[in-house]
Amino acid sequence: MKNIYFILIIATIISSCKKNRNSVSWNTFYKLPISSDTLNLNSFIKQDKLYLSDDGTYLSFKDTFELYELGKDIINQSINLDFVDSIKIPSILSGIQFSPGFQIPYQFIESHYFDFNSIELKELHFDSLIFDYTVESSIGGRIDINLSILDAFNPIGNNFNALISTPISQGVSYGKLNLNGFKFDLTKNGTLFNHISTLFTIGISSENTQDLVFQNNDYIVIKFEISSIKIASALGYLGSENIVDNTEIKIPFMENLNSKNFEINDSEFELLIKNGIGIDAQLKLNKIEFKKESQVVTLDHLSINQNININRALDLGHDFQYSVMNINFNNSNSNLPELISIFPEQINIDYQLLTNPLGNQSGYNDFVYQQHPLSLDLSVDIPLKQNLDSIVFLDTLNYELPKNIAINDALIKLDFTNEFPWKCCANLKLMSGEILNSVPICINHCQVDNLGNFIQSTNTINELDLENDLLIELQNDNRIILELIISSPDSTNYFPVLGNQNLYYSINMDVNSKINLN
Amino acid sequence: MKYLTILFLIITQINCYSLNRDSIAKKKTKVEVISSFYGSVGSTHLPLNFFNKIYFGGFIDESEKGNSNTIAKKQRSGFETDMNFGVNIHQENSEVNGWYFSLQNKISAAGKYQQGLYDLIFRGNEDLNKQIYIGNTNFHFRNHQLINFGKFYKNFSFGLVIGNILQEYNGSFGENDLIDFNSNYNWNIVVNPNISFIRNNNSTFKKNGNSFGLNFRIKDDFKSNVLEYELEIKNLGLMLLHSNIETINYDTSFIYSGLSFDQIINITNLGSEIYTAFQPYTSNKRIISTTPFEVKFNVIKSLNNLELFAGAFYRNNSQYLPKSYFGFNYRNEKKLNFGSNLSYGGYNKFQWGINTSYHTEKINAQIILQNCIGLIPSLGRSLGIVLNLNWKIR
Repeated sequence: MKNIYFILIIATIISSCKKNRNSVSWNTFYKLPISSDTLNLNSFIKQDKLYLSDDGTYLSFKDTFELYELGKDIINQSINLDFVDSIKIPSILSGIQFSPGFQIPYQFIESHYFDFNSIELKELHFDSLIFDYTVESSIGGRIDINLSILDAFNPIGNNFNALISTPISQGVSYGKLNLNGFKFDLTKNGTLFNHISTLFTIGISSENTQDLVFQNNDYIVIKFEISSIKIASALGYLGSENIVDNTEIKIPFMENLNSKNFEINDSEFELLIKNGIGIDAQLKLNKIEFKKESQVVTLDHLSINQNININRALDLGHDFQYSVMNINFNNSNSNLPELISIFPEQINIDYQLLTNPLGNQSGYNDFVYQQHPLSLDLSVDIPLKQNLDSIVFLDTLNYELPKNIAINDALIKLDFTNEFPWKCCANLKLMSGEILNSVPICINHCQVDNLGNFIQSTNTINELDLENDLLIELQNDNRIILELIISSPDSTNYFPVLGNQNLYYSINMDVNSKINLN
Repeated sequence: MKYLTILFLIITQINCYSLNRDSIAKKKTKVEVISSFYGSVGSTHLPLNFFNKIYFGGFIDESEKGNSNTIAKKQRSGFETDMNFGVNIHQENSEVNGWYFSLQNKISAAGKYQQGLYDLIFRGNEDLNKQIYIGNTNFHFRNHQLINFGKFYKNFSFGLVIGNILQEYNGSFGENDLIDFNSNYNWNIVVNPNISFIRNNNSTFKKNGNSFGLNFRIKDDFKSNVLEYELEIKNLGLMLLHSNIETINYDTSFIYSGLSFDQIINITNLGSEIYTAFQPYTSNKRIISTTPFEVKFNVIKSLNNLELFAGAFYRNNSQYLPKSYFGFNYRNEKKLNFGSNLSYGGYNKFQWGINTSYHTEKINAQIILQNCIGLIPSLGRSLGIVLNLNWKIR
């Protein structure tokens, strides 16, 4: 009986061992809204960049892009304020016992002259200035050093003072000095440039436990190295330097666009040179290239490869005046239409800038302020009155569909109401190259009059039936290529666009799916 | 099969325990080892096959999704298990007075919802074209460990219940909440969910919630020996959810007709974006609520070998429809007795139950099958089994 009892227990345990559980699944049929929206120009371009033309018939896109800015960088690289101070203990003090806390009645003054290449400064003002210092001492006890930089003043006019200490015995100690917001007078009372003075007094640190005796030839060496620097302003002669540089402006969005033909009526670009630095300069635009893949088109314009003189800014104390110069590029004085029609993905500007081409003309009154740089900006004015022929927009959309929903088949319903003078056909491609739609999904352009103006919207309805094998590929790929081909109505007109024109769309899906829950 | 296996295991283990405790019998105090197991699953509209698939996995075909009723019909579904193991320690020289102590584990999950909400999840919205009101929707899942102890007398018993709350999930929606599918692609959604989660933690004793309740039972006759009444209240008290309470609680109303253009072109992971929007947040607020107490009232009339009974049963805060029932037990003066009953309520509606019991001087055993039709899973919409086994040690 007992055996039967145990056999029964074991048999029961084995039979009740957890079996592999399958996932729970079921079929559903959903009608899902995927996307619906109203698109107009403001969906893609900020409203403050759009301007209505004088006659009110079309909008223009106006914006300004920063190409280049030169500010305090003009002197930054030349400014090196690293210096070393050496304090040699006078031999008269050697052999005498000094008790802790005793102040040595002696001052050590050091003078430092800095070489900033051709730059000769009268004044330097720092937003931030941090020195790393090392103190090396041969003295057998701790010495307190009171450091004054006589030419450095804080905003309320006080000298910079700091207390630093040597190690407790011979060796090296480290520390930082913070001179944020200090202004340096580099003239040594109007007689020099690029100069600062330091003053030290020393005392026996009260941390010493016994009297200190200086030895003959005892010394302290303090090295100051700039750890971080941010110049707020500089005054003096800022030197003459020829800056040769190349700026690349990338326009990633354009990588997706191509066109057979793209014409815009009367577009205009303007190069704005705005000088906020107190120096004269000479700008030379060596070359401006517009790149599309391997295709490179160079800007043709009178200003290319010519010296452009830029006057200095004026600081009148009560008034600050920028020196401003504009160079205009339009359809008649340049090959701008050709450059726009390639939808450039990169613009390369090869230029050189010579500062103070005539030397120290201001008599040491050049200036540079952090908030007033020399800038090169590009202003664009593109009337949205165009004629497009097969602009192709290609993009790869990344997505991740929920893995626990297996779609058996799906019918995508697309409904568009278009008020734009553009016809748009879309193809959806898998990464394998297979096109999901057997025929292009097209949205008709709006009805227009003889002058290309909007009359009435058009409605287009499409259906896209997706079979199971394509859906599996869609779910596994997680990427889909969207190709849009946009064209104006067949005419040579320029078709204007206004802010109140919209594209209404809704994309819905009837989906027969299998839901899996693990 | 699994339920039967669990039952069998319990029986065998209790037998084993009792057989090994012969030494107790030598003492004067009489000890009664008590055990009970209750497991049931039921629905007002779903066949048992549906629950089989939910539990064991597999593909739920159309016939297993239940009938397509009017979407406004209110439905309930739920399951519960209750395992109780303990002792009755009788006072010396008394067969009727003593102390009781037991350990209990109760697990239950249930929901009350409109048919339309179920259809939306398991069938889709293709044929809905109407508003689904979800204002009366609520659900729970709980897993409580309880310690019962107290005193019993001939006609009366009372005691305390101290509970460790392993899991307690509760959810409900605002009174006027709805999802409007009148237009298939333009959904009007008004939802104000109030959902709280208490999950289990790794500590053996210190859980995220505790409960404290009272047990009470009285059984007496109505001046006549042939007519008795019985009133039993179990775990009447309060639950305190004090730590790591996760909450989903917001009030929103919006029309959804698809994502905007910006959302579509910037989308990377649709699943995670939807999930993130509905993720619970941890709340510092404590929640005090009543325990899922149970109240049972029976009237029993004895006629020769026949015992007729009728009664009602209610469980609080569990989406449970108060159950009423009547039936009979036949005592044939042998060890084996049997009976039958009809009931209405719980997570199902009508149920036909049968029971049998076996009594000896040492053993009282009882098996109740709550719905015979449930033995045919494609037809039945509920199945419940109760096993009681008591072993008296003298």
